Amino acid sequence: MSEARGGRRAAAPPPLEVLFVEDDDGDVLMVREALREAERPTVLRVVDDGAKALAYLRRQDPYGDAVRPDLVLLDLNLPKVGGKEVLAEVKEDPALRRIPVVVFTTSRAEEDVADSYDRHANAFVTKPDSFEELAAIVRALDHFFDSVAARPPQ
Amino acid sequence: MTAAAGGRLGEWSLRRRLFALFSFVVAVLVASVAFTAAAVVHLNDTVHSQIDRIDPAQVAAADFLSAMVNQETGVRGYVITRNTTFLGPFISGESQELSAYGRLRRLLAGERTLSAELAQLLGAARTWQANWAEPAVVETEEGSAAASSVATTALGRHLFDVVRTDAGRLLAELARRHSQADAAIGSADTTLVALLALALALMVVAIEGALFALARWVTRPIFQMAEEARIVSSGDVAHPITVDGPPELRLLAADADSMRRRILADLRTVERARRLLDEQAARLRASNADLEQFAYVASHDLQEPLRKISSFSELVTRRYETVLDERGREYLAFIADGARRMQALINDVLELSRVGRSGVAMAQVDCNEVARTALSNLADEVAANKATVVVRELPVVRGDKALLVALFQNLIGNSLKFRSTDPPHVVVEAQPVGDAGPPDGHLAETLPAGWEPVGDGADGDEPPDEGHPLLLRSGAEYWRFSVEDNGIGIAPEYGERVFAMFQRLHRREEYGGTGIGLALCRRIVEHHGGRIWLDPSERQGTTISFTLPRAPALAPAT
Repeated sequence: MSEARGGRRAAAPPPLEVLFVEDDDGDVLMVREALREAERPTVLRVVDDGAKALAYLRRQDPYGDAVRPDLVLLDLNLPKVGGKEVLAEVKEDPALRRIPVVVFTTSRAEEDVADSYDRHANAFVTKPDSFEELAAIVRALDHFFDSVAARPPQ
Repeated sequence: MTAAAGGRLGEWSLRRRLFALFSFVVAVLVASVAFTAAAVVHLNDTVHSQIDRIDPAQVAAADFLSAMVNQETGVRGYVITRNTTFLGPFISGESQELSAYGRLRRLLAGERTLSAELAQLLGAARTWQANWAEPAVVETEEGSAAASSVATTALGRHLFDVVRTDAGRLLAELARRHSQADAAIGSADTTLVALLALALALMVVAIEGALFALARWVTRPIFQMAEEARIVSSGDVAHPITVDGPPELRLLAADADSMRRRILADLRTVERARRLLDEQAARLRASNADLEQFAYVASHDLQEPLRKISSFSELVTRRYETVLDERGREYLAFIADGARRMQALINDVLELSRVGRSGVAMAQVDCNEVARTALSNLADEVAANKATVVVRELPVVRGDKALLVALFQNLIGNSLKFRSTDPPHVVVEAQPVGDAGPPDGHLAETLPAGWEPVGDGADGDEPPDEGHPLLLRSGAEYWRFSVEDNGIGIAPEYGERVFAMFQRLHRREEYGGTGIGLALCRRIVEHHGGRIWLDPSERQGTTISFTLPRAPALAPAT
């Protein structure tokens, strides 16, 4: 079915560009593992704190030639600039606010869910406890933003 | 001198001052009355001396003279005419004269001048009688004409003139005395009026003075004290209460002031205590904030490594299944299970610590809806156990809905989990009670066996006119809920222990769980102001009862 839709397009869309803001190497590794089994290739860029995330999105040093991501996976518990601040900055910036941001965190706390949506997060996803579930969720997100949802115009 | 007197007066007690003041006023009144009385007595005397002595004396003197004139006329007539009828006036004149003299002597007794004049007059009258009148009468009787001789006549006239003169002098003196008395009466009148006016003025001055002194000694200090008390009561508690005035009132003010100081000291103590409380409250708030921070950190930072343990043990199992032997896989399974249990524990403790700190305001919560939500969350377990859960009509209470759902879910979930071999049968119901505690006679109050279907609600003792079977009876301040099952039951000796944290009655291999469920229930119930307890029952199964305070509005949600 996705092939039929893809067939109507002039060309297959470029691989999904994902910025993963995460300081936990284990999670990064698991997400990479999960994406390795995905049907379409995905470019995963990783930054490990909030300040770097903002610099990357604004193409500031040392990210002068950074590619604008199609999706941001944002952990809340980050060094330097916290995830909620990054979210707020992105969603207040007219140049960045169209980029879908999915909060991807260990937290189940209601206040974190509420705060994230209040800051216009596009989704709030709690990291599941098992690798199996995590891999399924990452692939589902990848598929949704790659092939189901329309990408915002650049 | 005045200052010294004032200083002495300042030490006088009010009683002494009032005594002195009233003594002074009374003295003034007595003096006024005495002077007036003296003046009245004097006037009285004067009037009496005039009416009783001078005026009658004048009349008597006139009578005397008239008697003498009658005698003279009688004698002269007899001497000239020798007619004895003329002797009548002479003789009656004599007695008139005596009578007048007698009166005069009596009236003028004690009056030396007047008495002397009277004596002179009497002397003149006697001389006239002895030297002329009687010889003339005798001579005329004897027929001699000597009496009527010029010489004799001249003598008689001369002697009688002396009488006239003396009488005139007496009359004149009496007249002088009369006018003198008149003047005295007039002046006594004036004196009396003046005295009365003076007494009146003195009394007015004395009463004015007394009023002034009373105002100064009593009214003014009292007003002053009232004013100072008002200053204190209006908030200036440091304002001292002092009063100028008699020692009694100064003492009263001093007493009031010592009361003020005492209250002030108490106030300072209370203020100190309040500050201490404020500080403690601030410390508690800070500690609470720390706890919340801890809870947040625990939810992120404690879970993160656990998740790694379980995820990577899973990855190892997945990727290296062929490399590992059976024992290695078993070890990995234990690692994963331990991590999962730890995670469940952390989540339960977190939930427990959030009770009452979630910041959710209490609202009207329909417990029927709460029970429906809890049951839909438990739908899988209900179906898997083939359980029947009967929820009777429940009231509306004031509470935190999410917590109440957790409460119902935990209790009903326990009933499903700790089931016997029979299919689970759970009854949830509520009834109004007077207080929050577990009743002493709870066994007698438990419902008889044999459950009625939902919505029947026909308890015989409910007043029919109240419309709703769960409307509170007067005096009922709480709702007592009970969750009753036919499960394995809890021995009464564990009735308290099951509500403590991490307390389990069974091996984890028999019944899963963290041992926090009932501790969480107790925390939720107590957070709502109620109590929770295990109802001992002779039947098979468990009855957990808890109370929640009644909501301010009684009407159940429709």
